Amino acid sequence: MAAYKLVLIRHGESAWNQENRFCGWFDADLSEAGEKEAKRGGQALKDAGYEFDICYTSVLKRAIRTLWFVLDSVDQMWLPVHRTWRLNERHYGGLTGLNKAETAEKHGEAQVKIWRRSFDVPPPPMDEGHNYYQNISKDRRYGDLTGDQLPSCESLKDTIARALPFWNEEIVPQIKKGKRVLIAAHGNSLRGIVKHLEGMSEEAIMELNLPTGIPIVYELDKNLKPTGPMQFLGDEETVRKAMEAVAAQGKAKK
Amino acid sequence: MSKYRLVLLRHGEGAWNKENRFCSWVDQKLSEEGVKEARDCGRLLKEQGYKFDLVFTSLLSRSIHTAWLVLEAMGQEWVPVVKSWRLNERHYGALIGLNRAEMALQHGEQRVKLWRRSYDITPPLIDESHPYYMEIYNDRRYATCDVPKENLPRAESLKEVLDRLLPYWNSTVVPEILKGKTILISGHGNSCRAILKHVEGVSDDDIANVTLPTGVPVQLELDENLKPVKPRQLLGDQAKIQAAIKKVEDQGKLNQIRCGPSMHNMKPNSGVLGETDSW
Repeated sequence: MAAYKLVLIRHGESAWNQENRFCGWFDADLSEAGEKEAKRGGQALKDAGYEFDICYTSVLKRAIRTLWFVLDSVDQMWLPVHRTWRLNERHYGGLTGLNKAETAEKHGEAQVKIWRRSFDVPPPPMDEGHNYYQNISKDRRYGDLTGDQLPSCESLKDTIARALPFWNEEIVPQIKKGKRVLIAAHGNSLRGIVKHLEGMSEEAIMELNLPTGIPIVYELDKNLKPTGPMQFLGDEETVRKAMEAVAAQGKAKK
Repeated sequence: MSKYRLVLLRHGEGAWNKENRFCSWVDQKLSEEGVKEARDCGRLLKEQGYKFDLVFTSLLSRSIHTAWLVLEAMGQEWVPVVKSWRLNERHYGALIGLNRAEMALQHGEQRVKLWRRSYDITPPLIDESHPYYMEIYNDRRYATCDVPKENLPRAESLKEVLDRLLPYWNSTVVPEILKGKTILISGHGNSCRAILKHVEGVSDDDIANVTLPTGVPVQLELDENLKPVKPRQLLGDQAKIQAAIKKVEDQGKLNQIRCGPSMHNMKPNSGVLGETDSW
């Protein structure tokens, strides 16, 4: 019998996903499909009778609104919710706003390959001339961040390095108090938590793409070690497809 | 000269509003109309350039949902939202679920008038025989409050609402105002009235005549002592506001109980509204 249960959910399709653009800290909203994914995820949690005590999310609307759809579905809108920039998506720096083709054109295929395959090489920084600089770096929600904290770009390593302190200092104590935690966040911030929980290598975490809109359940022992692999919640077909997609990822890169 | 600004919002229509039933601590959701009211309110606040730093709501879904819809319309989903039972709607005790006509039938017009008009007379307590008792007190949210469940109200006068709201106002809301934060309180008819009574110093008698229309943001501008520097302002298109006031009044008219003399007491922009739904 596991001591604790933790639920993670990665938000679904955003308007920029549709256009295949690097989103990062740009505050894109969920597309209609993304809203459906969130509702479906919420329904899966409702069907399985999940109760939570506390929720965490980023300061980006695509994650927050995903959480709201879920809380509505499970009829727990009254739960306390903590928002933090530390659970934000990875900051894509100068690549923010570019689509995949534009990126290859601007930087060359070889450079793009390096960024994609690297754990710790960041993309070019977003400087003051960038068309999203004002929109992101000067946004009121980041007003309390120090100069050191506010990124101009991030590698996956950087993302994980700023997410984990929040996990350790804020989330872990709640789990240990027996609070049932729900985290609604992004692909890369959740990778940080998963890598840490499972003790995965840098190579392994880079190969892992968490499914979207599907609640991911970990059962943890009293030392917060997973007692088994992550489980997905949903109807049979959705879960099967998600499991297959994750299994195939490791193989595709050979 | 105003130093601080605060916005109060009474949530819009829930399913029971349409039937004129007292919802109170039953966790009704917003109706489609109520959702629309919240979105319109958010659009208005966005047009007027509001930048919130903090939002307070009750533990009831309709006030939380209203806050979410407002924040969404404004693109301010990231703003922290803090929830407390101390901002809940007034607890109507045994009257929960009854409509105004049923109430008059069960208790007599005079008693109902007394419960409506008085500041400090408590309606009969809810007990386990009431059809909504279990739904309310078995709800997990009431095991998370800062008082034990047994000590939560079983019925309240407006005075008792203020008695349980004021400690929260002082310990949790005021410090944030004093830090200069722009605050939105997404509340209910009576929790908003209780705040107004306190902030504006409305007398026990006069508060019966104060009603807020639903879905209309109320702006308070306060000096360094948190005293109002001008009358409260209902924000938005004045014709729409008059329509919202009328809607709440008409709900009061729908039954046969006389609402009292102040129906035609409206002075536009003075902030003093006729008595209508002043429960």
